Amino acid sequence: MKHTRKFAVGAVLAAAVGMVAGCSGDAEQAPAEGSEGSGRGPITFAQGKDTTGKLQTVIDGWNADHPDEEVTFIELAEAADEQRTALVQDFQAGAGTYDVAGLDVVWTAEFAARDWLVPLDDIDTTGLFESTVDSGTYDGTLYAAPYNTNAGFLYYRTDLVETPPTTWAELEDACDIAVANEIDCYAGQFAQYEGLTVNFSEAVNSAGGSVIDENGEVTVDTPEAKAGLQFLVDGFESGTIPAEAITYQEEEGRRAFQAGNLLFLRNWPYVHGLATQEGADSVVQDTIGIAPLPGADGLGASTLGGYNLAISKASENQQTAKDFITYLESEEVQRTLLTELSLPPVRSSLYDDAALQADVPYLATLKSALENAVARPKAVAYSELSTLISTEVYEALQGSVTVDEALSGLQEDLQDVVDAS
Amino acid sequence: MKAGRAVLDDVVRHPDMTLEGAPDPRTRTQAAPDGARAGGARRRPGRSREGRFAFWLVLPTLIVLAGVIGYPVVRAVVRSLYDDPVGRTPEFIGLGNYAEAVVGSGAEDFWAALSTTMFFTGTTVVLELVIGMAMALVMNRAFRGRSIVRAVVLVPWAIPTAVCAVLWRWTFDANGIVNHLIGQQVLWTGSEWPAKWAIVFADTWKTAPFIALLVLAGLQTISQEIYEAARVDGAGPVRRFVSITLPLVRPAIVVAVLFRMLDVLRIYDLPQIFTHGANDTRTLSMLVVEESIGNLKAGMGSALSTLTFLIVFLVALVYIRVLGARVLNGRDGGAA
Repeated sequence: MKHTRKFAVGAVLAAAVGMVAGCSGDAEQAPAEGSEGSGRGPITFAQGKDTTGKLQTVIDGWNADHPDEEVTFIELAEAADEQRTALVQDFQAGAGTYDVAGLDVVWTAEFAARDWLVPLDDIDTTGLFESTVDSGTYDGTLYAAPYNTNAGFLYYRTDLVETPPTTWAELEDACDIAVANEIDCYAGQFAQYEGLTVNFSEAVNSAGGSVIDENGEVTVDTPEAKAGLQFLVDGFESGTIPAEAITYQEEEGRRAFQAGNLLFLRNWPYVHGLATQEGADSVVQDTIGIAPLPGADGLGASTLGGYNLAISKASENQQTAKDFITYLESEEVQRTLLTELSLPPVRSSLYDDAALQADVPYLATLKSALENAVARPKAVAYSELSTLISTEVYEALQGSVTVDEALSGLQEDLQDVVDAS
Repeated sequence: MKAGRAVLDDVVRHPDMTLEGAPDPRTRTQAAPDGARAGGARRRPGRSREGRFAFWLVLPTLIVLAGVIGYPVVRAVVRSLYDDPVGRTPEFIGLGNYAEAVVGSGAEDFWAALSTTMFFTGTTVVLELVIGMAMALVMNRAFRGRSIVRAVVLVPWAIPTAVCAVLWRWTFDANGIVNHLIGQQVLWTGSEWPAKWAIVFADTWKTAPFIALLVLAGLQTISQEIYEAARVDGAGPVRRFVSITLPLVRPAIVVAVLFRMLDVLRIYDLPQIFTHGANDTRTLSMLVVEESIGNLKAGMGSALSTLTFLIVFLVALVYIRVLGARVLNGRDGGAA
């Protein structure tokens, strides 16, 4: 039986070795020098999957006017994590496959600090929302130019609620209506993932606090931060937030709301389109109201979402890349992005456009949400911070640690990460 | 003679499955796991010309393997000895990453992930073995519609793990079909033990057919004549199973369990999609990916993947030495 055994040992080796090989990333290679890359010529543009298929027409518009500086669209995965992986691998290797890349607002700091991005100081940002410009800025320099933006809404049922709540206290009072109608009251995204970091930051900001303040200090051990987390924890304890919301990401919450099981839902603008269109699947399609998020006293502050545009240091045609970014930020393209691709523009004047307001019913609400929106903590080690936040907050929501314990532990852990990077 | 006819049927329908099932019991017991063995030359080491020819035939493969497996492995081990700075070249820190992972600030995560991985390994392999064995026994019987049953049993194995994970996440949704059937509102992805058992369930569902397939291949090499003889001697069904089926199918089981152990020790996609590692379901592989891709710490990630490699290797080695050797050598009287 010698052979059987050798075969078995060989199988172990092969499988185990394959694992090490498959799992190890290699981040050593420095990005290629970008000094010579100031020329013009064909470039690529990489961003997440365009589910509408309309982005190509926008790019075609550029290509028609710039035959020698043609832009090729590279479609990345739909999930943000996978987009990030693709970009990281390209930037790390300095391969230069992606000249212009769509970056989630939270990636700016970690990419810029690793010296993967070209500074974009010469890009004109007048007329863009300040918060979006801020989200692409690292260490006082613009590294990622605003492309599209996003903010959370409070969705509510217009058939059950006359005026949407503007404070948490009003929201809790309105929950009596939910009880009377035997449905659940409020939900957001409370599963342990990036969405929980978003919801937690929102709660803290809406109570007047911050996760990391403007000086880069971690501030989750403050009374404001405690009030924010307490609102969510109390919600689960009192049943204002249904127990099953601990498993909710965006889609679970949307389904519950569309099925008529929720009075209030915190979610992104995309829900509006789906919930009003999905005929029989949405029992609430004619009774959806949208409002800015409520806060501790007065309206709350949404977390800023959206994508920015950055240029890879390994790009050879950076001048073309800059011009292309300027094109994507032009009023005309921004308008198309909103009407054809449902991407909220970063140009604030478009939000006051009467024609657009008639087309897109949530535009006015989105504008006020964007004006108050707060970016997530800017940190080189953002992924690490976010994982720590969502893990600790999740335990507090489950009731396995108290709000005070969770936040003092989090304060320490976050500070360690911030200090280390 | 019904059973005898079934064997004949098999030879006709699946000649490849029974090709190696020669009457000699020594050959028979190693037939199934040995299917992938390449080896005329190895049997006769004395004939060096043939051996040299074999070497040249194998060489291209070895070169490719060295390039696509050997190089990355060595790179990973080397990289694990360097730190993870932002904006400067990594510096050599010896075993710093390992120390940090095992006893330093990463220790809590590492040991939690290790125990979770071990829990999944222990539970799923046992469940899959029992269920897969039962499936194989059923599939090995002659009955009408057997080929349909064989095809159906293999369906879960044919579904990609990621798809399977999404499918079970929907099934275990708070308002999903599982809760509907049991009439209770269990939050399967919302607390520790329901999440763990749901993952064990999904993994068992998916891979029990794999064990069934390997065990079935083993079962088919057992000659029906042995059963006939045992029956003539008055052995009952239990006795026949314990004294004939189990010993003869053991090599197949050993290899099937080994494969599954190696697989589940590296489990990643199922818990990743199911819970994102929430509720203490984060496995070693998830930790590796989180560090190297999520946190962009290639050094720490390489250290963790090397540790995972060592753990997997150790577990498998102990398994082969302690359990496997006894089974594999049993009939040879200990000659290894």
